[in-house]
Amino acid sequence: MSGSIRQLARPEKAFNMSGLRNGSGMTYVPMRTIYLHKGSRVAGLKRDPEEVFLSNKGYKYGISEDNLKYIKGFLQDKYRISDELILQVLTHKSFGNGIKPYNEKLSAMGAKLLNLFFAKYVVNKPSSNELVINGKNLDVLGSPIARELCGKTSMGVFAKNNQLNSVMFWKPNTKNIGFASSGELTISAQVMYALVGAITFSYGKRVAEQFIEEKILQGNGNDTNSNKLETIAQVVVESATARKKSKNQQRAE
Amino acid sequence: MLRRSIVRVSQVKPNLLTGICKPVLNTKNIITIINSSRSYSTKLSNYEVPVEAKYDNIQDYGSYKHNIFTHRLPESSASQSPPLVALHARLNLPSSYSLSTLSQALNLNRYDDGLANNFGLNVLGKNMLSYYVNEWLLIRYPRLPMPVHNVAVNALMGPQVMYEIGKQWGIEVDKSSKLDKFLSQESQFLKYGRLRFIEEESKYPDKPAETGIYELTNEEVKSLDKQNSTFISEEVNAYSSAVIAIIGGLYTHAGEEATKEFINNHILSRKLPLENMFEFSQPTRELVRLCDKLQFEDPIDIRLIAETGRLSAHAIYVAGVFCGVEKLGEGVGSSLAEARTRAVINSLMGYYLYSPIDNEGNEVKLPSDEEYKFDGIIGPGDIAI
Repeated sequence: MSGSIRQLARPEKAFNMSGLRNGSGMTYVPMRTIYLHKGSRVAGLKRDPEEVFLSNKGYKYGISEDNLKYIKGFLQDKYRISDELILQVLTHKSFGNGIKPYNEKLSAMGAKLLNLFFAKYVVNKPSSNELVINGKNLDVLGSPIARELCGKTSMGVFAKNNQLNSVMFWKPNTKNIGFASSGELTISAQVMYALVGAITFSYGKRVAEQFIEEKILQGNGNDTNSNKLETIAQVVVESATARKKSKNQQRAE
Repeated sequence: MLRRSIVRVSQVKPNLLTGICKPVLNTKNIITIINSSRSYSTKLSNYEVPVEAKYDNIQDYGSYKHNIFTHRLPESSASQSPPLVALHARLNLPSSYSLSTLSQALNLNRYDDGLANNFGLNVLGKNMLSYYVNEWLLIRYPRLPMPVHNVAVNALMGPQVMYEIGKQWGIEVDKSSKLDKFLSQESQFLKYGRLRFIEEESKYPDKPAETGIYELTNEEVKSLDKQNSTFISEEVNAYSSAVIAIIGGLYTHAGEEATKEFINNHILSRKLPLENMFEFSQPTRELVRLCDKLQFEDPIDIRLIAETGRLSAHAIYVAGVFCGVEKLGEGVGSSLAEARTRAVINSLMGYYLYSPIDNEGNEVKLPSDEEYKFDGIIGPGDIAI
């Protein structure tokens, strides 16, 4: 067992007790002593924030260049958002028992906008289908690729390929260490949704849609295909279909 | 024939929300409604077999085509259907919104005389609705706890509410079979303006209905909530699907701005009793954790502000919650404990139901509005107790 004792004094709040003793000039500084516990959790003891607010990869929670550089590099000046907001984007509900601002509301906004954006994106492609309504091919909706474009897996992989998930504040709930099995995939996807949500909150829907088009669909100006969302979604869908097929074959045999 | 399982429950009727939506009063219901909205989101229509499509290239979205041979209703036939024309006029839809699309939005049958169904329109409408409803709630009530937020979404666009709206729009169900239609010499055009979700073969019952017994279909069994013996009936689902598909159709013909206005007028203008959606199990503990999260320096202090006197006939106490010199809330009760709890809940509600305003005192703009400027706040997330 190890720990530290800290005295918390608030000199800025020190008040003069001259009201009680006329002109004596005695100053009373309220003080409390708190024992901050390190190591495993003990009921009733307050844990040391130095230790609690560390990410599973050892990054210290807070606004620092190390924590924010990946997101800042991705957004660049055009889609710059405040540092506090980036930190909120990177923080998941599971971190520090939800005591820091986290990204749930941001990702709710982002996920809904991505769904809407990709629904519009796929139906507005030119089509020869005779069932089109006003030029919009609705048959593509509900297809695996249309779902996966804004799906959890492709968003998580996109975040990984673009290094956006290098620093994330969350707490794994399993001992597994795989990208998907540890839950990192889901958390990364949520960071992506939250990032889109943060742009929506900061700049409005039109700019956010432009952001999706420019940075996520076209792959951040990189020519490598592995950074493009559509390529990722295609691989995800095709591997899932292949897996399903081989399973069916095994069953048939 | 549909495979049906029988659940014998007396007076099984869907618990419909009447008039303005009045969703939940206790946690049990909150859980129910959250669950029902989840199952709803995975289910796009009443197809038992998922719709399959073929395509040339996986990324060639224009080449996708469903594997069922259907056609769209000719506009000339659609315009001869009185209920369809009436619905179009009643909803004040723009003239660009074709009657055939409106008729398609009302068709849920997988294969209804070879007419195209509302699957795609429904998906599109759901995406539209879901975005605009969530955006409105996230901006106007940024601090709602997520469970309450979800219930509020459900109260605005859940199946029961959509069913009510569909009923109010005067949509009728096509219940009669082909034989009945022939015998009563009903015009073939009437059905194009009616909600079609009952398959032709189900319209000829193989046995007479027994009173007091309601047979649930497989889909209905899935939505069954055994505690409250409520379920989402096929009819509710069908109405909901059609209303959402009509919204989707509006996007295809009139664009997104018109759709947004339609959603504002028909969905977001409804009264939402948010204050009834809360239930606190440990309010004081929640408030303390909340102040911890908000990094308030001073501890929470609940103090008695006034009382009528302990020996008065009906003693009344006024308690206040303070954090340092700031007063967070106040409550009145007939005992000290009641006043204290009410004061705590009052301060929690004051926090959760906060709605931001801009410098001129107007409601803040939504991200989809013109000249949007971020004036509000972003919810920092719920606290864990």
